[in-house]
Amino acid sequence: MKRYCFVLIILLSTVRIVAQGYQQLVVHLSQPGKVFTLNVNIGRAAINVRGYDGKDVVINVETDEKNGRESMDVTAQEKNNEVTVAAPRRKAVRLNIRVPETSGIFKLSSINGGTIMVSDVTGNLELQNKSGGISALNISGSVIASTLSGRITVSFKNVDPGVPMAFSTISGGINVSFPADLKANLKIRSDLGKVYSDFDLVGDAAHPKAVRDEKDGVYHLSIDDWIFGRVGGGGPEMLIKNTNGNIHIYKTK
Amino acid sequence: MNDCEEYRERLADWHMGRLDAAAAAGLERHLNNCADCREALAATAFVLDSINNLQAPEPPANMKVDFRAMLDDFKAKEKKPVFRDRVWSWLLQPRLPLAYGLIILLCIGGAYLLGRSNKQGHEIQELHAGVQEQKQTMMLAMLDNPLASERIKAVSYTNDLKKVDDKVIDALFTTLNNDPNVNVRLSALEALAALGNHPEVRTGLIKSISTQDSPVIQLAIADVMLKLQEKGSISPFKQLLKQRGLDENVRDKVKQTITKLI
Repeated sequence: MKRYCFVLIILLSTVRIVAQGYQQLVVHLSQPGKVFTLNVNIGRAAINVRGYDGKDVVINVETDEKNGRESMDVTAQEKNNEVTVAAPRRKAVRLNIRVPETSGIFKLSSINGGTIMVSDVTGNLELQNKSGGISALNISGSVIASTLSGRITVSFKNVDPGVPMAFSTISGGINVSFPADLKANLKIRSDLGKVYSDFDLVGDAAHPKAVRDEKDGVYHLSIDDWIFGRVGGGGPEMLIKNTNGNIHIYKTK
Repeated sequence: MNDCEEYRERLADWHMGRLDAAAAAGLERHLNNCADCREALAATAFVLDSINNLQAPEPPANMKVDFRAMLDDFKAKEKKPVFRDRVWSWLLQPRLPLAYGLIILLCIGGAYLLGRSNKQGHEIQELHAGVQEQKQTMMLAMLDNPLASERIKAVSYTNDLKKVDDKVIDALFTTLNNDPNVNVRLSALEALAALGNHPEVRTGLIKSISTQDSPVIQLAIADVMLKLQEKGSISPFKQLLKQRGLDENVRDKVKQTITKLI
């Protein structure tokens, strides 16, 4: 059975290579250096956004269409430093987008096109997926991420102080790495998974205290409820919730 | 020199003409010979004259009434009626204009201070209410912010509001039912769950069960309903189970929740 699958995958990928369409869009920002916005809301998109040392937003589009010309349907509009990328419905695309390293607002959403990946950017990230994971690595700023089936992996270089964040998924683990000097109120719940934290979670009178298992560092509660924990004296709320899969809170090394 | 002390005690009475003739004559003789006592007399006379010349301020028309009311209150509190007559006869002594003057002054000052501190207390209260109102206005405005993190922040402000009114609850429900971001809806749900003592919150949450399409929220609502022990949610949950294409995790959770609630 395994071998059969393998052959099938090889066959499919060959088809892909043949049928691939490719397109590049270069978008000049009207106010380079100022906070820009990137909107991508495409149902079937795998999105990969990466910060680079440049002024333009560069969008590379790959499609699986048999007719390469159709890939030209992906459009990007710029207005007042706000870039909106759009594609016809039902069209599967892979977007590789390079953005300036200056501060930006990223609103990226997909339904079932694959993973949403962002790395090396600064700013405010809103990432929504349904079937597919989310990863945001080496981020300076804040992240709000949700998916239904897929992992969420986020690591911060710097955290915007005072900005609340939220991470939620149903089927998939959640790994978040915060800087060691994080100040936040963590609110964590995993229905079927375990919760691990590098940070000491300090409880308060209003909420049941999470008990830490000394052996493996797992936080657990005897009752089915949220784990509340202040970190670094407290700060904005960081909500972390899943149903299946473990939750890990790391200190960024 | 011991005499001097004795004489000086009488200086005030002599100045006011209250000494009998013999005592007055003796004092006058002494005054003729004692320069120190003359100086003392001058000082005493000066003080007494100033007091006598002091004009008692005319009390406002309602002062007497207020004062009496205050006094009655005070008396009622103290409950010492035995001394009442004596107190009054003492108070009504004609030779105490100074004391009256002082009392009236104190009353005016006291009333002024009392009024001011009341006003201050009132102002602080008003200021506090103003801050609350401002916070609420800010929260309601921030719920429309294009940034999801700002909207979550707005939702979290409800924890700081002393009194949550219908406007806030309505706004939270609007967010729970319409916000484009799942996590913002999730935080609104959590904020509403904390307001479970409001009956309209419970009804709203029950109503919301059928309108939520995100499995994340459906799961979270099931948790909230279980925590609030809201049996009214059973029938909409049963309806939800009939939905085609319902997420399997949600199906399991809702079934469990119904069993636990029954």
